[in-house]
Amino acid sequence: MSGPGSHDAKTIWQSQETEGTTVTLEDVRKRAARFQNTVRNRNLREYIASAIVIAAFGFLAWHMPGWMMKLGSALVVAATIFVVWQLHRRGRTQSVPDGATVAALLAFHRQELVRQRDALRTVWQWYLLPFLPGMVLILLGRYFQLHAPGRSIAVDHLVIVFAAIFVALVFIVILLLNMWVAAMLQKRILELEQSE
Amino acid sequence: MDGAIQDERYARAAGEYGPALGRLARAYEADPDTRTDLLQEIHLALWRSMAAFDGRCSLRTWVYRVAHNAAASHVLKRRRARAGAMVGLEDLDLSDGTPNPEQALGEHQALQRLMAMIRALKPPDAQVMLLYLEDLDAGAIGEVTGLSAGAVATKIHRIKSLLAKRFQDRGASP
Repeated sequence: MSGPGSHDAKTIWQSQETEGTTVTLEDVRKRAARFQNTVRNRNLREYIASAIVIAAFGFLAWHMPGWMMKLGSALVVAATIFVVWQLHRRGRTQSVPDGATVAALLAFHRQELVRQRDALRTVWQWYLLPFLPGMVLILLGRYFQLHAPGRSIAVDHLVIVFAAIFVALVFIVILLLNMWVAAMLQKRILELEQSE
Repeated sequence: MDGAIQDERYARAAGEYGPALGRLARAYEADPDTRTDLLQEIHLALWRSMAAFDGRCSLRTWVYRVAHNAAASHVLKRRRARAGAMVGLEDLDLSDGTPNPEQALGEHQALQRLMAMIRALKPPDAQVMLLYLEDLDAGAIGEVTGLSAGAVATKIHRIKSLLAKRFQDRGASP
């Protein structure tokens, strides 16, 4: 067998046998369609979930007794619309220009990760805080203005306190999860800087 | 842009540079299944990019830029699953895998060593090495990578030195 002594590295490189994998235009089109479907379905799921929340709290705002629960539900609807807009704005990914160099690509990837990390770090501002006034008003309205039938006021209040604790825990878990993912992104940013 | 023109440009690029794209995928990805996936990803990026190709650079430069970007993105995504950190050309360890003068490397072994070297490199350096192996001259490498002529010359000098030491390769010179 002849070695690199008789064949230079370029020759060996260019004469290597590659697998017989050929990519046809049809393959490319199918892959592009699959990618577009994935993005479309993800967006659709997000919008359907938001529509359900808006419809449910819109219904409560209309039918609930007491101004506190009505206003609280309306504020949750407003918060949902605000958060959807924020998700749309912050989640919109820029794409690296076609034909950019690898150095530009790495810089772009780093910039995107920094943007995502910052969005997660400030999630309490734009994701959690908007829901807080509505949720507090609903719980206060439930405490002061509406009592469940067939249950003593003391027990009813205890149930509402537990509900408030549950809501607070959900907020804390969402916050901690986002902080954790932000820390992972920070690690990736540092790794990326070492690749440049 | 007319989709037919995009398709026609893609077909021309894929026909002309298909083998080089296959080698590129092979260099960046060791796992055969994932490599097929990467190759398709490269072709998809190329097809998409043809809608924006305006002829301000040569087709070859465009194809290599788009393909290397797709491959580098793949590497960055897969990076966490891989053991070991990537290094620059100047930090590539020569102590391991250097054959002694009596040892003749078979072509297969030589190819495996080239692959190992490329996969150990940071994307910008791996790109320069691959373009060098594809026989692009310094000017063309600079055009694809966006590096200055001086930076390309330094990297090529280092690559030649690495290849010579690793393979005792008289053909490592251009």
